[in-house]
Amino acid sequence: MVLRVQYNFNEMRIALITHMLIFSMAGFCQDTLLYKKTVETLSEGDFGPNKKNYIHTFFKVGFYQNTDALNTCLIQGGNSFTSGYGVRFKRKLSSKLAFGYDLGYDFNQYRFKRDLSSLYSQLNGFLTADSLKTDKLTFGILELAPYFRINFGKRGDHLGKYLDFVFYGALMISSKHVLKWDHPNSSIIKKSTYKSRRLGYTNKLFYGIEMRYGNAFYNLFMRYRCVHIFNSKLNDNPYQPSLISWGAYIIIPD
Amino acid sequence: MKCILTIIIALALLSTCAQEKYWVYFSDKKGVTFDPKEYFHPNAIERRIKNNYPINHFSDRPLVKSYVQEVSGLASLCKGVSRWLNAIVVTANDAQIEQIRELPFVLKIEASSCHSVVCTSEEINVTHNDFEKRDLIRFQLDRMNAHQFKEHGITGRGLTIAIFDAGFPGVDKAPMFEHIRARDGIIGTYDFIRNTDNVYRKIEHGSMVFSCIAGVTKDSLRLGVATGANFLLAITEKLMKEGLAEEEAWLFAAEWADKNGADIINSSLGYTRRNHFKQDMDGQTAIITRAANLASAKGILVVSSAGNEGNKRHWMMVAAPADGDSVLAVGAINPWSGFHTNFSSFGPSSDKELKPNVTAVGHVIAYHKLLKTSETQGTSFSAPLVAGFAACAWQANPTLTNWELLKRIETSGDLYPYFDYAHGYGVPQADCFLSNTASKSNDSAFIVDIGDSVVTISIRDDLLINDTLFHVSENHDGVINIITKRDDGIKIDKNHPFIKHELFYYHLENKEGFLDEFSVLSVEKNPIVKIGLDSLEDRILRIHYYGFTRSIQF
Repeated sequence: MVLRVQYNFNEMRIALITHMLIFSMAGFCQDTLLYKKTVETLSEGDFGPNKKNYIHTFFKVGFYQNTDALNTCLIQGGNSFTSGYGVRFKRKLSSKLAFGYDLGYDFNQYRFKRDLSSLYSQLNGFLTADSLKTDKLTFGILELAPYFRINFGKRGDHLGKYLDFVFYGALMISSKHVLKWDHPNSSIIKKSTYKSRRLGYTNKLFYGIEMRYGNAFYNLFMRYRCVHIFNSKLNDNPYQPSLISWGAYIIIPD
Repeated sequence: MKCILTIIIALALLSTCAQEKYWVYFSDKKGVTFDPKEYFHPNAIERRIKNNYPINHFSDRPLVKSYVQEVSGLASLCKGVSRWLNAIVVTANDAQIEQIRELPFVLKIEASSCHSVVCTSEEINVTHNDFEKRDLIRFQLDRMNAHQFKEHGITGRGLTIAIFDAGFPGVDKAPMFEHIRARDGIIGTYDFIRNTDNVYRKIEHGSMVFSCIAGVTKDSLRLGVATGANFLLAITEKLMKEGLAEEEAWLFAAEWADKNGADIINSSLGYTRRNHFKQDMDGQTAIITRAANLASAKGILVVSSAGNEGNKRHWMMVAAPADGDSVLAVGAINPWSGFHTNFSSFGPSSDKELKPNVTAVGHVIAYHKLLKTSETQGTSFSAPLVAGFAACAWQANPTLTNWELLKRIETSGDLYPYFDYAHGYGVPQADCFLSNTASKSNDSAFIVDIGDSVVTISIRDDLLINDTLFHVSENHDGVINIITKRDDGIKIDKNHPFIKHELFYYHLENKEGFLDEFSVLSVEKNPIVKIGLDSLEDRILRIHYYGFTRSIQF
């Protein structure tokens, strides 16, 4: 291909842009398979771990704490969990301080110990606690969680360890309550299941606080929800699910 | 409220009482007795003599026992000792470390508090059938002309290669390694993470790497060239755990490999932004790089993968230990396109040393536990191809020192004397070690027309090979699109889908001696390239095509 000497206006503009963006008039005739400026490789930039701005995704797994507090439903520890996925934005203020926010979705499940939870009796008073096999509440929430970070160690931010102070607000977007009974004394019905969605007896908005301790790879967290799950429609029910959860965030690098 | 307080107190305590890891360096090795002949494998002593390195060097002597005991007594846990650094790794809290700092024999203390995971390979299958697989096996060695080693009966015999990786499951049983086991070619194993001899477990990345050095399929196809070498296998990689612990394990493994007579270390591991900043990639900061340089000083050729960060916009550059100036860093080329594959990390190091030094095929066929062989990709696999190559080259030229060998491997590169920060000196060629083949440097291959404002470069007509059979492009995931560009009846060679492409390379070197920019072009018609004179001021334009290189000073 012969380089054309005369250009019309558009071609001149394209040529100029090519000159500026690609490489000082190189590669008119052939395909440029690779072009690299060394400064791009060496540049630290201001985006990435340890840099001014960073975004990464995370997985979260946690468990609800079974407490002895008054008016708390006893739950089945391992089966009452929270898991989630989200994106974390971070902006560095200095080598010691940073702030940011998480956007994420959390799936939560409570499995209540049937001998203490009395919720079902309000919902289906004709059934007894003795025959209840399963009492499971699940709900999904969308969460926004601003945080303030204090870094430890000389390397600052992501290469060190850090403590995050988090406030979160959440909107419940789905909920389901499942109750299953055995009927050992009935010759007709052996088992029955009660499933209810879009529950009217739960709160929709939550908020709480969280503290995280972690590093570039994972965070350990403890969270305290300041709002009860069940609302005033169950106000004569004395029991509420646990407010405390703990677990870990697994950080997925960008 | 009580709960909130509990959470705050618990996490605050966790952060303040946390144990940190430290390197504690000692000032001397007073009163230590050391018999090198008892400690070292005879190969290690021989290697030291060949490299004019003292066999009773300060760095090889053991640490003063009383120093180690005293520091260990003050710290919470002693995690390892290094003769080379005259230091021990301990975990301690602030109070403990202050006590240790006061000891008269403590030279300095360095915090070691980072965590990491590493990316060692990407795996995207792109070959379509068994035939293409077989041809890729052929090509991954033929691209280095490595069949010539076999024709000369050179298989790395007499050389010992240490492989540091994440695990070697299947190496103790798989037929692919039977020829090595049959002659007791695996002379030592150690897992530096769990402190056991069993390395035939965990992640099979190490087995895949091993196969690219010395694997042979049931059809007698060789995946690597050093089938006659001896091997030391070490696990230094602990996935999903502390990154710097792995770098420390690498250091301990290097000392172990040195003691046991290793000639070559292959490391298909890389440590980047999860452990370090870019400025740390200066060849002297990362523990693993310092260890690699020390190993090199003791006569070991350290071959390291350059890293798979080329398409990761926040890093892009080589991964430690490939930044070491004594380390042979190996990048990757794409066998379909013939040039840099997009994941291969770019150089230079942050102190502007040329990296990678050389390249090899980065999409390979390697060992697979279930499938016997499978296609995989990464600089993890180009490095062992070169490590096996180096073993054969060393067998063919046994008088070379490790540094001389490294330089000879560079000069054997198919681009040499041209270089860039994607390919180094190109793919090393076996024939350079078997005969005195002179590298082509006849600059009459090019026609350079320096105009008033533009430099126009053309290729002599008789050398103009219109290599436009493929239009090759890669997306950011490494997926390769190959489109037949011409409709004049030329089709892909069904017998050999993998061929060496002749491409045009150029770079601009500034007066400080490093490259400002570099490029690779396909070759269709003359003129090949036009470059504005304003961008060439005080620079050297270096061009390369078909083995010919020309430098023009402006």
